[in-house]
Amino acid sequence: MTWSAFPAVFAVSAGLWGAAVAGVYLARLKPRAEIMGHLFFWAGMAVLTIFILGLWGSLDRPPMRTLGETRLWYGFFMPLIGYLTWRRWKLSWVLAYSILMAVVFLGINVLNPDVHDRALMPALQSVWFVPHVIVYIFAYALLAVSAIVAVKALYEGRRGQFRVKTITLADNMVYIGFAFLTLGLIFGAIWGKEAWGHYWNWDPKEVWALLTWIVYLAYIHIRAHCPDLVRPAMWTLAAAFVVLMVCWFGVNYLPSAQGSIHTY
Amino acid sequence: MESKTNGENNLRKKKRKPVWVFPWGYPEAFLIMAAVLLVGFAMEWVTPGDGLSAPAWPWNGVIGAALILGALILQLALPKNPVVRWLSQVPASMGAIAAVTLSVLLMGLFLQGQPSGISWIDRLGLTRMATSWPFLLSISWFLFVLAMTTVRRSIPLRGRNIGFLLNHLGLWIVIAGGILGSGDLQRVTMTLSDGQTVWYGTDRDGRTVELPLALELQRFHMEEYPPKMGMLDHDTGSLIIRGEQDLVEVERGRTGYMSGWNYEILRFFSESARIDDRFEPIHDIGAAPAAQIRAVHAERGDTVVGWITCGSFNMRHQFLELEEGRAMAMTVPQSKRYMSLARLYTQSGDNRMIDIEVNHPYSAGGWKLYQFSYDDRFGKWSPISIIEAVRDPWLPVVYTGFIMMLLGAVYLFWLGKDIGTELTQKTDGEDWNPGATDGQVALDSPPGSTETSGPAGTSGSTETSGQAAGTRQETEVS
Repeated sequence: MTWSAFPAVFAVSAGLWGAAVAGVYLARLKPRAEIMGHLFFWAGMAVLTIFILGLWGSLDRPPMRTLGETRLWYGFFMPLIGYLTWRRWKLSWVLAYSILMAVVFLGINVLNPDVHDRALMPALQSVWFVPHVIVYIFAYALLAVSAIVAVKALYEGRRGQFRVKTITLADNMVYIGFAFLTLGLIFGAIWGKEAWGHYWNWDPKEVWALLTWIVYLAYIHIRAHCPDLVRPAMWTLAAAFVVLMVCWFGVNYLPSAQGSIHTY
Repeated sequence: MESKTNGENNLRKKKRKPVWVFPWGYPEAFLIMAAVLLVGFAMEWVTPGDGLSAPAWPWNGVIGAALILGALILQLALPKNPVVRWLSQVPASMGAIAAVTLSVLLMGLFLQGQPSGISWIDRLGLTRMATSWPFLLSISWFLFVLAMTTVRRSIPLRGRNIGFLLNHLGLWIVIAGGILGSGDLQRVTMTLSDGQTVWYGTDRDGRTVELPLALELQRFHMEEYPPKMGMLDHDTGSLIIRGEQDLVEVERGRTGYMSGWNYEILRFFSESARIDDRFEPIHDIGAAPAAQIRAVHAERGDTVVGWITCGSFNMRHQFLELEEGRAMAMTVPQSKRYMSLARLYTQSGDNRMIDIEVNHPYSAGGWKLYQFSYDDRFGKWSPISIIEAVRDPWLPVVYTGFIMMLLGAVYLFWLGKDIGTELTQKTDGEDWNPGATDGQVALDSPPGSTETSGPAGTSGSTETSGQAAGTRQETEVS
């Protein structure tokens, strides 16, 4: 299966996920509609999974090299995280939001298609390639949700009341997302030692990955030390996602990134 | 459950403590951060140079030991000193984190490694931040505060602090080991050519370094992906790529459609040479891929048959002209893997054949040998192979820190939910007034969190309010 099948896959998955969200919201009126949410959600995931596996097979390498391919994984993990959050915390808006984000990112791939390219440069042919990219994209997807949770918390605060449930959700997502950022950073360092001779080369992508890590580190310390300073903490969390996005794709446009080994 | 947090209101109502009056808090932390950066830039300005580097063994070891011993002695001898106490808490940590963040941010914004040509930028060291005074002072301050925090939490050692220690001590070991270890890090490149034995390398400053091993290149080997072909627009000089069908791998028998033309690849040789106006397969230095194409215009039906090649260092590339401004062209194949087959001689008298491939370095005599480069003008026919030899005696130290941080990350992941819940329970405490001492309330941390607040439970602090201590007792997880 190649990218030529993607517009159809996208339409089917997005449609199924849309139906799932409709089912979840309908369940507020008719509890029995919840089963629709589960069924349509997993059907949408199945279609996308089959496409990713097919693409992996046809490329003969992990589809994780180009920006379009990382968007594909982002579109895979976002709905999954939204679904788990909905199951765990009963927050249907998180599911709706993460599906919307996934549809936007996958939609970029439809409008801006990748060229079928099997080539994988030798430095990327490593056992660390798949774990490094997967844990990073998973962390990015989780922290994206935490950013929108932060915005929601700020909105609630503006209306007079911070909701404990919202803030707890933000904390949990950051803890788990930060753990995955740490894994990604260290996997990348170990891979760097094997491929480029040193675990840290101050490559622009590394610099921004470090910055991203530090900003979430700051959030964790603010929350741990001053749990009452909710507003500054939530602002930090929302701003942290901006740093993360610079790291993910913004760094390609910075003057400091000329000659980076991470540009794609 | 909904609650309004009172902390921010309390903070606003509170009368401000003058700066530099004990107990210190955030204002002092950020003033010191500003001082560290200012002093750093000032030193950079008055001592122009090519950048700093860590001292080699034994001095880097001495500095590392001094940092650890200094923190230990301060914490054991003066545990109640307000400055020592402040250095072990979150406000000081936040100041140190901010100092490192700012210097790393500058590194992320300015192109590193080459002078900008703008004198004040270069003189402030902004184009080589990693070896500048402001970065060195920031990271030293960070390491000192982190050491103070970690030591304080380790005395006495408790099982429930395991997550804290894995994260904090692990990070300290990684940073200290990486920075101090860079004083002993050696990276040299060895340029190998067929049949010559090389026992030395060249470092980045152009100095020759003798090695305890020698390499003799037997063969440089490269595998390539098949070349691709596409439609060239003569006006822009680039390929027209609108979708997947516009850039395809060249293989015999492939048919398709591209920018108004149907094509068929009649013949394809991965290595060939031009003979008169045709190509024949040949395995020799400088051979290049070539394909014979038949293209038929989809509407007009005119047919063009001819050869395309991307060429090589001794063969000109060739397009197939189809119509005004349009030609079919072949791209240069991308490398799939490349490696050096070489004979290795060591001082102990070893003599064996090895292969060094990208991502598969070879270890010998305390050095790691990496396939680094080749002469890309010649591609797969490169007569030389460049090997990088790296010696990093501190690597086991840094990897120990990595393993601790990996375990710490698993711990964070595992306990994430409990930590979040506990924080929010603290937020509910109506009697607890966090602003009253300007961030000095030494709330004990939840286990496994990466916070660095004071060790209320470990040093008999009297600052912990009853309510907060009660919360801690309820939620403690061992």
